[in-house]
Amino acid sequence: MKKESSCVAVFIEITDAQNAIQQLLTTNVNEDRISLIGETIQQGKVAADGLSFLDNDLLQLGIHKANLYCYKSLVYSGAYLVIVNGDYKEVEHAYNQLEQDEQADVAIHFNAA
Amino acid sequence: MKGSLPLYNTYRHRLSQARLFRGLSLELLDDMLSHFRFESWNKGSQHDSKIALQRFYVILEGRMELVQMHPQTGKQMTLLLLEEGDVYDILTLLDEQEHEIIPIALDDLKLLSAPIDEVRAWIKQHPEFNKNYMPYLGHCIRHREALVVDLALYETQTRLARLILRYASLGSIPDDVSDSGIDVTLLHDLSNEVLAEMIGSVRQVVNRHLQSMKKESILHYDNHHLIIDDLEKLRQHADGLKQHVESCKGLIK
Repeated sequence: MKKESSCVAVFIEITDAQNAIQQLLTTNVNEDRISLIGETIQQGKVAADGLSFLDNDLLQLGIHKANLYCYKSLVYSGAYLVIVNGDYKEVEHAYNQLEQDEQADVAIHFNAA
Repeated sequence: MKGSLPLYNTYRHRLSQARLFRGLSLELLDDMLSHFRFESWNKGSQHDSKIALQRFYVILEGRMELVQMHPQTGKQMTLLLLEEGDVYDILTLLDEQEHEIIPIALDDLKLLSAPIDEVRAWIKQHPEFNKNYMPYLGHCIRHREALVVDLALYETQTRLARLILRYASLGSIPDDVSDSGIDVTLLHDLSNEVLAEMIGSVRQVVNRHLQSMKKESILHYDNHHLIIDDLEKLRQHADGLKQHVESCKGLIK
């Protein structure tokens, strides 16, 4: 996983997460930059080789350890993460789309260059 | 930010501790939090000054360095270190103009950010928020004034002493200074290069002055923490100009 910034949205229902991804795709967010993570589902580049790689990949995306544990506990409690990785502009754009989703809790993580 | 977020209550508590948000009702904090988002910046990340035209940042954890850079030479000057509870950028909030200053994360930073237009509206709508805003603005102006005075009137060694004293007092100096000294937490882990950028000098000069202060048992470093051992002597160093003028007067007489 390349060192980049990220925007992470937490969803309780998988259908809401999938709808949000569809919405992102209609607003010119590159499909390659979107990942969906759940305990039993994985799509995209983040943790592509399994959940055991989630730590490494999230650290590469500018997520601090404390937040990483928080996200992991959410995933293992049945929540779903929609992650958009990219540069400052790309993650800001993704944030602006995701924050409009009533079901999403969104945060943004900027990495050092 | 939605109330259902697992860390929502933590963020609300942290926001209520920030200088601009102290004493606000829970109802008002909840309303304000609905406009905020959580952000993290990794240590070393630096951002374009234009971000302050769009968003207003509250530091929950870590230190942020505000730097001005000469466009041709690349020479840097650190104007201010912000810490937990501080906000960025108070000047853009005030005048809506771009403030050409580079924010850099000195540590891993946790922040809340909200659209700056919204925060500007709070100043007009909520007198209790405005009541916190004015003294904070005064504090920031005083800090900048102190920097200008230091650069214009004092020698490098005095400037360094005044800088250490200023950042020590931001963390409030206890009345009874313990045997272990005063830990200047805001300056911990900073290289002599960064300290030099804060007083308009160079690394070698800062290094020489720090060594001299160590020899005089004014301060020491413990595990990258700058510890003041002799506050009185440091204050004497910080009063360098006054002493110098008095000694000159003595010579004239």
